[in-house]
Amino acid sequence: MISLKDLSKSYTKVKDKVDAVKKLSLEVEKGELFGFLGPNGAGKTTTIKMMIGLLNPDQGHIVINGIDAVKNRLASKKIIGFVPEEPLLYDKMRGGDFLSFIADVYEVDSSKRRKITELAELFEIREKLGDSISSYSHGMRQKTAIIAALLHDPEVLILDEPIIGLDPKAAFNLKDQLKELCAKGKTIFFSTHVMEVAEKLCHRVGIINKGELLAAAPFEELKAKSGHLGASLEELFLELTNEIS
Amino acid sequence: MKFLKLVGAAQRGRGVFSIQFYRDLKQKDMLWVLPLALLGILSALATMGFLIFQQFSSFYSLGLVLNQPALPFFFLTMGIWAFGFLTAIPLVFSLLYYSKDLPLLFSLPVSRGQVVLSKLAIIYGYLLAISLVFSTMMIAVLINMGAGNPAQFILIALGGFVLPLFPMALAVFFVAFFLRVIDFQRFRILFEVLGMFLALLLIMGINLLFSQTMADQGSMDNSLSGLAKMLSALIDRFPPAAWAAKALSRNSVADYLFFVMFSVAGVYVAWFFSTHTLAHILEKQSSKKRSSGRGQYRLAQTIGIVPALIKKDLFILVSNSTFIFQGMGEMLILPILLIIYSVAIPKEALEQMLQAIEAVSSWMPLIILGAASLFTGLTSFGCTTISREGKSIQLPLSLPLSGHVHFKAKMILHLAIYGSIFVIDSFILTLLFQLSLAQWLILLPAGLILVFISFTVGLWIDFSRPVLNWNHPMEAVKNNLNVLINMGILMAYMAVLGLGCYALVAYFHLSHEIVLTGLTVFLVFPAKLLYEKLKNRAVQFYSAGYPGSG
Ligand SMILES: Nc1ncnc2c1ncn2[C@@H]1O[C@H](COP(=O)(O)OP(=O)(O)O)[C@@H](O)[C@H]1O
Ligand SMILES: [Mg+2]
Repeated sequence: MISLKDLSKSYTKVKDKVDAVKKLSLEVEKGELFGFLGPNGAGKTTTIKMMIGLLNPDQGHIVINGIDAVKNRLASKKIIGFVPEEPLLYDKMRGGDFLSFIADVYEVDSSKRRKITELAELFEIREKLGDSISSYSHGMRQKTAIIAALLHDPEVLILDEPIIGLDPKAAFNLKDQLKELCAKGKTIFFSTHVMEVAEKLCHRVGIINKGELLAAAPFEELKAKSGHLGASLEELFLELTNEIS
Repeated sequence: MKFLKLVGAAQRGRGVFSIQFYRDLKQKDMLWVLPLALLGILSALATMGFLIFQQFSSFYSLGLVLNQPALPFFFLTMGIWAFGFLTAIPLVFSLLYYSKDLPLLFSLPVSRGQVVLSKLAIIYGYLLAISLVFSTMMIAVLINMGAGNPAQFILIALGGFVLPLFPMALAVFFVAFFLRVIDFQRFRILFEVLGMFLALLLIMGINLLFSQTMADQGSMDNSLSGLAKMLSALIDRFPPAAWAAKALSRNSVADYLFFVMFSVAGVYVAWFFSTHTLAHILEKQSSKKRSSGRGQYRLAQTIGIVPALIKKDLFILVSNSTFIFQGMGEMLILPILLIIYSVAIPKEALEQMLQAIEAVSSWMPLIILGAASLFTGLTSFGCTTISREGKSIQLPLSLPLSGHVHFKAKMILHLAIYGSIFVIDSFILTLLFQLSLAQWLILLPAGLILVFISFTVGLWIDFSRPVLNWNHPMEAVKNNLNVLINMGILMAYMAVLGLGCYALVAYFHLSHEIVLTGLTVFLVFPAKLLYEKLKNRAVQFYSAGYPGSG
């Protein structure tokens, strides 16, 4: 379970101050698949970076499965799997070596390492594990990063725009995996600006714009609230994000 | 002049000397690093300048004795050309032919020629720095000897701007030639190392030639006239260098024009050729990307967290030729220097040196300790450990590992590499200066502690101001101010330690065994303190999030 409370973060750039996230509060239940929607620059990546510890919040609390993630970073990082917006990999390593490296630092037993090859099979990069990452295409890098996040069987999965750059089949497999993991009781938080994915996949969506959470509810509920029963998420989204500006 | 805009953009993007850089420092309240960096720069420049000054002074005197006034200028030219060429080769590789921003630049509405020109201008900037140190020293020698006149000084100074053009052109041409002849991507690193080796052999060869001619002829007069003949033959062999030498020694305008025209023509040809070679390389690269995999991959063994982190750091170290070069160069510098000197210095001179050393033999263990410590401390290895990781440090930062663990991995790697290098370097020096094995064993512990202290100082600097948002690896190591700050601090504390030991030996007449043992015991305390402090600093660093932006 993820709970964010009054989370704020601003960046200072030479002179101006950008409030990237403003007093954001939301909860994601165990077993829930939560979609975090917003236009470019809305503050999605900033929120995610605070959750996984790449940024420290200026204010507010982050609690993940009962662990205060700001005060107790190590414990919270252990139960999180994270897929960054841009894959973070070591180019000179072979794909398989990189995944073994991740398995080593997360102390995955040798007996459970078969998972590397199983996941590689699923995402169809099994034959590429022996190649150096520098020869990978963007999609293959993305797949490697996803496998690295799933490898240690995390309780909470946080993905920053994971669908971008994947081919249709891999995108389908990823969505399938995510659903399956949710059914197993994992908590999943992922950001996207692709409405369709969120609409079909998520139990609940949160809409963020200019650092503020505009709404967080099941899609149907959002529709009902706005009074456009026939509307698509896209229409709702445009309406909501325009109200503010 | 679109290429000037490209150069400006590249410098703004990465330059140490950009205004943005100062703004960043100011914003972070880090302006205090500047004086330290300045101290580092000054001590590096002073050493280099001093060596060159001495060399040129002796060439100047030799020129007078042999009645060949052009001689020192010939060596000035050859010196800049040789150093420029050696420096240019790796630069041409990484900044011109394999520069990462080429695809971007080629997609801009700028001609290829302009792109290449902008790259050449950046490379020229690096060579210019070297050239100006050389030519300034030449002017200093002339002033010191009471020779020369203002017009000549101006010509030499201007010459400093022209001289780097030819070696740059030569390097561009040389690399392009090989790139076209062999499929080279695979052998690139091997080739670069080989090139460096060949250049070393060349230097050694020339030196050997000199000492042999000196030694062969019996009397002084004979050897001098032999040398004069040989040198004038040498000068005749290289007309372009002779033009430069004559132009500078006699203020000859015609020669000066020849030499400038020759340099500019060289750059023009290289520019033309490399523009075409680049197109060739880009084509090759894009066809190569599509090659398929090697099939089956067998999963690696479990190795544990710390070894995994060490392996990761090693992978980063070999991830590009800039890091490999820097690393290899720094690790092997002492043996390389010793090989050169042992081959190049004539036997008689060596014997004299050994006699001189005997006079200070009671100092030798301390001197060896100091020298080996400097060679293992004056490196960028420790103070760019974090910087080298670049943006990818976000991965370690998001791992559930405490800073202790990262610190431990980096410490083990550093001590393993530089501890061994200290042992080897000090052993070579011990053999060379005929110390006893016991004396060597006594200086080892102090040396190893100093290696550790250098590591903690370097890492502390890098934790405080890591350079992470780089696009070219050069920004992480060569252009990194941390290296100079590290140099400044190291020089300062080595000076303090050196003076302390000097006082103990000279005024209290303590034997070096006692001084060394005392030093070892004394060093344990700061080492212990630094260890504790740095461990905490590491924890802080790895829990503070990503310090870079973007
Ligand atoms: N490192 C940074 N420095 C300054 N401003 C930043 C930085 N990263 C993001 N921002 C700003 O913060 C806001 C939110 O960015 P981000 O969280 O990346 O948005 P998203 O991921 O939703 O596209 C944007 O206005 C962006 O310009
Ligand atoms: Mg984003």
